[in-house]
Amino acid sequence: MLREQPPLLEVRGLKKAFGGLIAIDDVDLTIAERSVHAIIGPNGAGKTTAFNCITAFIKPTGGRITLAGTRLDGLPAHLIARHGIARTYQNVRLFPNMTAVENVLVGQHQRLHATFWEAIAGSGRFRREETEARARALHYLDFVGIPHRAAHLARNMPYGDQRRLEIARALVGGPRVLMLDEPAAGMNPTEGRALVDLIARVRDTLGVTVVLIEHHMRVVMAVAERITVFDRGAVLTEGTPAAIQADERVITAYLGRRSGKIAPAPAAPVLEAKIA
Amino acid sequence: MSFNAVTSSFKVARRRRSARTEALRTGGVAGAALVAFALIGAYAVMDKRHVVEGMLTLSQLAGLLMVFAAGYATGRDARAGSAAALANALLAGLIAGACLSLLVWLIAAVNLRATLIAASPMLARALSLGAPVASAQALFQLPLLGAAGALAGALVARLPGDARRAALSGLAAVVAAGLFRDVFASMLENMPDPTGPESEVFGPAGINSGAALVLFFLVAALSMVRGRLRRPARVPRSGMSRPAMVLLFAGVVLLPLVTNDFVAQVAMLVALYMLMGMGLNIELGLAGLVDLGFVAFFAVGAYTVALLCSTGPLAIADVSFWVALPVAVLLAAAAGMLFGLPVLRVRGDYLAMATLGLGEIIRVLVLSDWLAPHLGGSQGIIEIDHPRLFGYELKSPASLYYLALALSGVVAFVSYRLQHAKIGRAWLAMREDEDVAQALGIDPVASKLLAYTIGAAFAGAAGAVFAALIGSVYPHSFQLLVSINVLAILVIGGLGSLPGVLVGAIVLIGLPELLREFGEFRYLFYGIALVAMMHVRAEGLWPASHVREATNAA
Repeated sequence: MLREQPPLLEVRGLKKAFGGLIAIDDVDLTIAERSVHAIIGPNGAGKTTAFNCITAFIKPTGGRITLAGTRLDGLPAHLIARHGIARTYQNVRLFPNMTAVENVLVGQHQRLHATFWEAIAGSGRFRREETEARARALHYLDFVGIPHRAAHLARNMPYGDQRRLEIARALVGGPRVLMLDEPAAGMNPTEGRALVDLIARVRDTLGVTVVLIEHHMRVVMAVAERITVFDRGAVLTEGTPAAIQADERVITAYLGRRSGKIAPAPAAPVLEAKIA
Repeated sequence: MSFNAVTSSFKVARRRRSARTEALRTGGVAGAALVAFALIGAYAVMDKRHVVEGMLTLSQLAGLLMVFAAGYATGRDARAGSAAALANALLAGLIAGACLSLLVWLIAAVNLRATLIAASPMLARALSLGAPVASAQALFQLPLLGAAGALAGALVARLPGDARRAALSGLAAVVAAGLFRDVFASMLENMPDPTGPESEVFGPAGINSGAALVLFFLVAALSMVRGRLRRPARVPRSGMSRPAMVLLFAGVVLLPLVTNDFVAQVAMLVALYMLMGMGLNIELGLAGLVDLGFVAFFAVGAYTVALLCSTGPLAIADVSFWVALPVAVLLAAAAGMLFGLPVLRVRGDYLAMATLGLGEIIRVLVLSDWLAPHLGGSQGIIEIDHPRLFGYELKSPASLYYLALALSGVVAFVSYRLQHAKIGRAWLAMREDEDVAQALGIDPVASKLLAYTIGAAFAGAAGAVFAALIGSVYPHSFQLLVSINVLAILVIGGLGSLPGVLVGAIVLIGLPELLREFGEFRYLFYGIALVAMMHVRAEGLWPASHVREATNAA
């Protein structure tokens, strides 16, 4: 089931402290190339903090991050993006007053090479690039399934489409790793299934490695090849979906345990029912 | 981003009251506005200017427009029936007029001049409209006039769409013709017809009453015809139609030729501010950088040209303006980059504070003992050569207007191109959400610095033209007020919109210059205009396309 690939993204000993509060401590993550890797865990476990540290949204207190052998920790966010890590946000963060196409065009920033002067002069290369960029933007809108939204303002779009647009904007820059922060939040089961399909296509057709934080267990179990479970700022365990479903500690982490008593025997359906 | 937050926070939700209460309130507000208008001295000053010759002065017109607007607002209230709405408007007008009567009576009865200088017998006489001062007739005619004005407003408001539009257009045409007599009269003067119809249409101060009547019906009829023709295809269009565009363009180009030097001078000022406005538009409108020190780069451009082109003792070279202009632009850009490096790391409101300081630094530096020997201190640099083009000296306001216009054209073109390229999108994205833009690979400091540098370069070009226009530069020309003016132009016109800059410059620079009576009340007018804009049309008179779309959709 899990294809053996060399690790693409490696995180070692990642730590983030907000003042005296340690949000994550000594987190290790190994993401294989062309895999779909889910990160789950109860609220406040530090999943999004880990995401933010990897994408340099916030500065980690310590730890090492490498992408295909290149050190990324300490680089500013725009250089991380240029190295090939793209992301979406837990609460959708589009450019609300720009149209869908414009949002996706901004996502191509690093792909366009015409200089400032070429833009003013309207050189051949500039015009060719702009035409290509527009075509590519439409292609990616089509890829995520919202071609009809091209001319709509981002803020006037329905929530589900906004999430898709955010994915298109992240993908169009040609990243190696796509990090999705709760992509299924607020989606109904039908939309969730469509999302699973989209994530699979991102990996299979575009060859992009996907890391996602997700609470919807149906989505996680359907799409992930490997799951890392966070609890209280540290990695609790990691494994295949089947192994995670069978892991007693995971259920304890989610449901809590009365002191002194031993948690009930692990049962996958229970986990799914309680969390999904 | 922070600027949007500021503008939106001004929008106040209006509570619904009954139609009658609303009318009373509207009347009270109009009355208060009238009293304030009189007490700040504007009434007495503007009373000297006739809009309709021998009939209506500017201040009377302003007063009538206030009650007309109050009546119009009351008449628009859809909850009241026609008769009730008219009665309400009548009431509102009565109240507004009564407020003014009360003021006249007070002025006549009590000496208010110790605290309110404008509350003079002259004001009382002016407000008595020819009747004996503070007589019963004088006191009664004001509420009656108010009621009549408000009734007219309500009547117009109750007219069906086409007729209403026609009446308003006619009214606007008469007011515009009267107010901008200088522009139109000089146009007629320049007509080839030797007898010149000017004497019949315009008097020495305003439009003649007969001509006003003719103009009203003419424009109203035209509006009706246009409405009829438009009727079948009433689709919302974006921007202007092609003929309108061509007409506007022709008007802009021909303006100084068909009018006189005074109008050309005003047009020149408008073009100059447009140039600066487009520079700030890159910074504020696109990249969202609130820059209150914009005048600094204007000063750098002006002083560069002054030093390079002056024939006075302070000159360091004597080169042609065409050599000095690119140097001025480059130096201003360099100054922008130099200043930008330290300040652009701060965000939002803090940036406004930091740039505010920078703007003052340049002015203080020029005045300082250190630089005064080189830059002339408060004496400034004088005797700057006018630019020459093919042996022709650009000295007249019209020729300098064309210079500024040509530069504005270039700057507008560059702005347009950049706006629709990768860097322009990056600026917009930064304005919307800086963190997300950075996560998409946009270097925030580099792109902000570029916006700041380009804005500074445009301001430098404006400064260069300014120096050539005035022929001398003084530090007092580079006050904070210039930065504020440019900022206000953008806000009024619409942030991030190129045509908006033109509209803003015409409204804020052109109109007050043409209405010389406004002179001392200019900044009051700015304040009112800004507050009113924030309430009524926070997106600007000619908003950028994306904002327009958003407001239409909302």
